[in-house]
Amino acid sequence: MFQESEVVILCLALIACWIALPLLRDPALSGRIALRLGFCLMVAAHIFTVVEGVAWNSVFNVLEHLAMAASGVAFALACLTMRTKQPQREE
Amino acid sequence: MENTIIILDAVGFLAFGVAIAQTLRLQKPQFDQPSRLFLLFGLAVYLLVMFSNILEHSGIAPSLDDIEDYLEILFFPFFLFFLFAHRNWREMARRTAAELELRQTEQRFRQLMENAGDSFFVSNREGRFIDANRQALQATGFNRAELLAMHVSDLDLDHSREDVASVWQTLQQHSHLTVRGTHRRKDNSTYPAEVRVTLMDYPEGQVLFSIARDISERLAREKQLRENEARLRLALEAAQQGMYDLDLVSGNAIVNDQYALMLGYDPAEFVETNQRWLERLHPDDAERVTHLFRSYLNGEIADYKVEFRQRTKQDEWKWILSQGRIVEWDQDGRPLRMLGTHLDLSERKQSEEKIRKERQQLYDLLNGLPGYVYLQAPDYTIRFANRLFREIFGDPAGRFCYQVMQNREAPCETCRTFRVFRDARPQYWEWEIGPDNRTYQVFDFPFTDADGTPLVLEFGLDITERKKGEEEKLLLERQLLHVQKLESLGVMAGGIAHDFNNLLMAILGNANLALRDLPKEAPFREHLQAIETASQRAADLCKQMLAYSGRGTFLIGPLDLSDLVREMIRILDVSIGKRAQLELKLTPRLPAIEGDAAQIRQIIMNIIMNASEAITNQGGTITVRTRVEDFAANALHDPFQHPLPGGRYVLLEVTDTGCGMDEKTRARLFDPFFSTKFTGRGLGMSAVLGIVRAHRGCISVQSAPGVGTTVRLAFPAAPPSAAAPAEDAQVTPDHHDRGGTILLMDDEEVVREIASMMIERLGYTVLAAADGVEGLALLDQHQGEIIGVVLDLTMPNMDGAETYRQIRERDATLPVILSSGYSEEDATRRFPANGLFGFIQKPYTMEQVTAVLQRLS
Repeated sequence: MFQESEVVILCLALIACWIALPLLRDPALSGRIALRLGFCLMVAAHIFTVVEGVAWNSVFNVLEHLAMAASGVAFALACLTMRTKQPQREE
Repeated sequence: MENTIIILDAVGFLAFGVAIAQTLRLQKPQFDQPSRLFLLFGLAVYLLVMFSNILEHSGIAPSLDDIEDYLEILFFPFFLFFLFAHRNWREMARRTAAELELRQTEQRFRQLMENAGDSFFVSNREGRFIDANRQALQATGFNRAELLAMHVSDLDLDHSREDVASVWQTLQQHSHLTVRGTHRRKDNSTYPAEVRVTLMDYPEGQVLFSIARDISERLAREKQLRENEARLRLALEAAQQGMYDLDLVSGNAIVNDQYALMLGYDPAEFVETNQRWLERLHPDDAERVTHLFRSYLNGEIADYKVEFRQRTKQDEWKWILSQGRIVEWDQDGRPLRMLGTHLDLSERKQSEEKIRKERQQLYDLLNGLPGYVYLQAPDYTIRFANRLFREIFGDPAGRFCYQVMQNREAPCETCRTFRVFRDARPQYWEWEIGPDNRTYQVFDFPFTDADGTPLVLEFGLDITERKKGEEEKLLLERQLLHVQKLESLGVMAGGIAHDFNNLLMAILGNANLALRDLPKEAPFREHLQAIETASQRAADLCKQMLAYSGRGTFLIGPLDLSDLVREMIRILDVSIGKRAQLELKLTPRLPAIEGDAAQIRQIIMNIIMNASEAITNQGGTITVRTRVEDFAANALHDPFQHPLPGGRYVLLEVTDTGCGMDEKTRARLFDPFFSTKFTGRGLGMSAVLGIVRAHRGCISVQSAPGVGTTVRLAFPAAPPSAAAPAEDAQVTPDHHDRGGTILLMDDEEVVREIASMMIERLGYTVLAAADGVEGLALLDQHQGEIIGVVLDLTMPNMDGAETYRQIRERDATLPVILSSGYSEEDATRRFPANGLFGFIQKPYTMEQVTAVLQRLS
């Protein structure tokens, strides 16, 4: 059975996703691909969280934590990229 | 399962920790501070979520699920704040950079404008200046305030306000416009300017931005370039030069109009290729020209310059000089392009041919001259020599004049040719030169060669024959003068002898009559005999003088010369010196000669005695030789150089080995009264000459000092039928009374007196007359009484010959006896043959008168 907080967070994530993804296309932002991947994995983790309350609890729970761990790796790559690379000039 | 989750959460925890660590190291200008903090907070939220998950699943703090939910919710705002903050910061940074760049661009533009070499003007739509750079102010001389108060048309004199407005309209459709105008300076001077105008946005709005450039120098250069082009074009046209640009790969060529016109083609229709050029070549030139062309292309020769003939459109041949140069090569060094010119040489070739012909004519003329011609340089080399020079002296190439002409190794010390170089004046002289030592008359003229080199033109004319002719002519003139002298002397001698004979007639006749009248024992008889002897000797002298003059007494008859020589040798043997040995080489049975024996004897005596006297103390030989020889007509000449007829001649040759004569003595040998002997009268050889002349013979003398003398005489042989010599009639003086009257005519009174006495003694009556007129008058008075006439040859008023003719008119049979101091042959020449009864040679004696007159009875 899924929890209400989890659904709220998922909704918040999807709204944030709708706002963030266009901003993450800014070419002046270095590592934007990794940032976008990390953000999407974060949203996916919240989707897995909601789904695990409905079916295959254990599988989606693992997938939830896997997505979070992968999200952390993606953000780490994005930050490394931002530090080492100059942002691309605007066209 | 729980362990897997714990491991995944740990991985996530570590990953977010790494991300936070990297975020902390982010620095400007990559990130601004707010966005970095938002990102840090977001990442830190999830670091806590992962940590709470680890605590929750490991069982350490299982009740952290609610905190976790709140934390997860916090992440999304922080992340969005990060994105917005970063976006705003980037936008602000971009704007700031753009503004900075704009300011820098404006500054650069201003610097560029101020420092540009061209004048920049900015004007508004009305044409008023609103800005200008420093160069514009310097170029026009206005200051900024003055310029900003002006209209464009105030500066550009060629464009009005309306023009400025039209420019504005034009620029609405075109990006820029270039115009030329005349700009005015502040001092009202002008300069040409080229202005590029374009529209530009300015703080005051859209303006006209003009870049003006002073094009004075460019126009001057363009003008000069146009002039140079015009000159080049004119030069090519004036030089009748065609130009070609040959593509060596394709063989196609671009040519100018003159190239086509040169070959008779219309430039509009003419297309040139390498192949067509080869086809137009003359067959005789093709191989040579193509070989040279290929050699140039292959780099075997440095220059391409060749003359050839090309066929024109009118099928004629035209000489062309082609020059070219490769101007382009490919990467491998193969020639690609060639530029060159064609020059029409036809006129030049015609001129060269004309010059060659004229030169050949000149050479032919020089070679045909009868003298040698050569040109000598100051270094003694010979620049030119004609054919005759080469024939005489050989080829002068590479040799000096003194080597060629005189076979010397150094120039002559007194080189006459060099005087011409020094004085620049002609020189003339004669010299003997050459292998045959011929005489040349030389003319040297100063001459300047085409290159300015001073030369000497020498012309040498062979005058050897002319000189010889002149010498012969001079010799003949001398001989003629000598002959004339001899003749005049002969005339004088004859005249003197004649007059002397008249005088001697009186002396000898009176002495003769006196001796006849005186008894033998009379005391004065010896004196009279001395007078008679002296008179006889004087008469002999006169005879010699007459003999010299050719008017001596002659008794002509056939003579044997050898006999006469023998006869004379017997007489002269005692007179010839003992030192001389006489040798006779007489030819027997010689043909007879017609002559006077006494005269011939005198010749023999005179010559042999002279030979004897020429023999010196060392002794010598006198050889007398006679012989007969045949001569052609004109082969012999008489002493006065008149030619003798051809035929058989009898020669008498007397040779002695005595002292001989020098040329000067030999030349005067026959002069009367010239003698080398102290006691000589100088009439011996003169008489010989006269006698030889009178006998129509010739005489020649060869002599050399110390060698001897040869005298050679030739007398014409008498015809074989010649009669034997007549014997002198024996006359015996007799005192017979003849009776009758004798008419005596003589202009000399003494002769008339003595002759009258002689004739009267013979019993005749004498009528004496002083000339022919008087004598004829007496003849008319005593016609029938006169039985004979004694007539003198030379008389005043009427001479003997005319008187004789008058006598014959009166009486054709009256005996006329001629009396003269000249020889009988000379005196009777003017009388008809057999017309005279007799001849008495003055001075005559009683015996001679008797001998003639006794024949009257």
